[in-house]
Amino acid sequence: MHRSLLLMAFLARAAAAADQGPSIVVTPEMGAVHAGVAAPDFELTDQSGHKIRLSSLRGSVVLLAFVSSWCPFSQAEQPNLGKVFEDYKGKNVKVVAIDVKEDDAGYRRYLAREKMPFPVLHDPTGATTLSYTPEHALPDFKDRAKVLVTANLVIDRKGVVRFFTLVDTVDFDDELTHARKAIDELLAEDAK
Amino acid sequence: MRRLAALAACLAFPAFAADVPSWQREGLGGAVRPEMGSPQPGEAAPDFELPDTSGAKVRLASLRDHWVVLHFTATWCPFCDAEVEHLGNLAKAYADRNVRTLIVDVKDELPVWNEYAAKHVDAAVTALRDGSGEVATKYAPPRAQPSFKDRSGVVLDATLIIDPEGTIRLFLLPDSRHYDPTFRAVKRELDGLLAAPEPPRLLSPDEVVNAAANAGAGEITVLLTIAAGYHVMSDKPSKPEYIATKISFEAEPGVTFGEPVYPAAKELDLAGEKIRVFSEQAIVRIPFKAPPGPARTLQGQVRFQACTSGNCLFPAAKKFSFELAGR
Repeated sequence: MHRSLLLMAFLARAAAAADQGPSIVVTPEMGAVHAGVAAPDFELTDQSGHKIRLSSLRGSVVLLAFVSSWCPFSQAEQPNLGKVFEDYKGKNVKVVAIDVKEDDAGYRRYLAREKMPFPVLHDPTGATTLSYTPEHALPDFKDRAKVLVTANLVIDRKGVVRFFTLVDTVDFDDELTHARKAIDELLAEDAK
Repeated sequence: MRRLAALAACLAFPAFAADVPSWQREGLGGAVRPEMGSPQPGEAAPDFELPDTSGAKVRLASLRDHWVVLHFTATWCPFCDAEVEHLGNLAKAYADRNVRTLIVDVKDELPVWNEYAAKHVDAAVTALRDGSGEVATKYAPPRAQPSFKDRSGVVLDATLIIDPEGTIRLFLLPDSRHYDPTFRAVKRELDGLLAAPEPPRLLSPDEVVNAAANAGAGEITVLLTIAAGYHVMSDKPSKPEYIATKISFEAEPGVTFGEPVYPAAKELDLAGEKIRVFSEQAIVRIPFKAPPGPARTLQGQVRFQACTSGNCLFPAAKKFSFELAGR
């Protein structure tokens, strides 16, 4: 009796998760930046001291990942950002991470943990991050920049946001399967 | 045996929660699920001893007889930070209902935690620090967030309710999809748990059933008194493997005992299974014949299996004796 109930509940949940896709999609109700709008431009410095401007990446599909050294979800996702970079080499897909509002020590801690073969930009004030923060998502977070930690965006070749999710702690997608799907869809559009 | 196991599982949960798994109840989407591994609701909360902000050691086991709300936190964790003031409100609201509230900081530097605790943790909350993350790791179910290498991170922002026996009754991991820093769902569960009647104390079979017999004209009456919260199987149990209640007598020269007449059984619905039982009181009548003679003492026994709605005791027999008046 109990076991079958548990099994049913488990199956129901598995089905729900499969239908749901990326489960915390940023919607227009949550904030100004969402799928369909232009990604706010910014210029930040990467780990080798180069300044990188988002708009200079026009023509490429961009996976933009907001990261931090302290967040365990971000830590679990970190090696998988490198895997996306490797898997999409030669397909005109850029991976760019933004370290959210950390001091130099935190930023260096993030960089030291894994080999990061793509730009990890430092946003020490959190100003760039805030320009992406959905105003109404997680309204209880006092530090609004932290809402974006472990958020992922896919931006198309014209600079338009096509995918924007916040971290889902229950069905955590550490392998970035949803972001990969969004990238694949954009690449398929181009092939047409 | 099957029934013993199934019913033992029921005992771990209050009646109001038995039907719906915790993670399907409103606001509890982050609840630990059985497939994640231990610790789980229904299991003993791992014991620990951690220093509070004054350096004094606090042991979880020393809080037996209290309900405990245990919350894991870190100063940098935004989910945790939004909750800390509401945890203080919860602690104050439940302090006079035998609830102790603990917050355990995971791996922050000591001065960082002390400053944060002084500023943000209410005095009604006992503020502890797990500097190594060892306690947090003990609480992390092995298959929750399998991609976290540092297992102590799994329980950040987690909230547990532990009952006065030290058993976990709710274990909630963070749920960013339905995030509510005010602990509304935790308070609802706590209210339900505090209101639920205590499961009957486990008695020995000997304490459950009392038998008193009287011999009248041609009939012996045996009154079985069954402890509150318990039942025994009837004389005709609903399944052959259940132990029937059966009265018998020691042989006595010249005395013949007829077939006992048992009362009608009560029907008890246990998770959809209807079983025939006796509870509270049952009177069994046994016809007998005895030749005239001096007064003597007769011996009998009742064999039974006593159960609560959640647990069965070993089958047992209880002896009784009664006077047969001289004629």
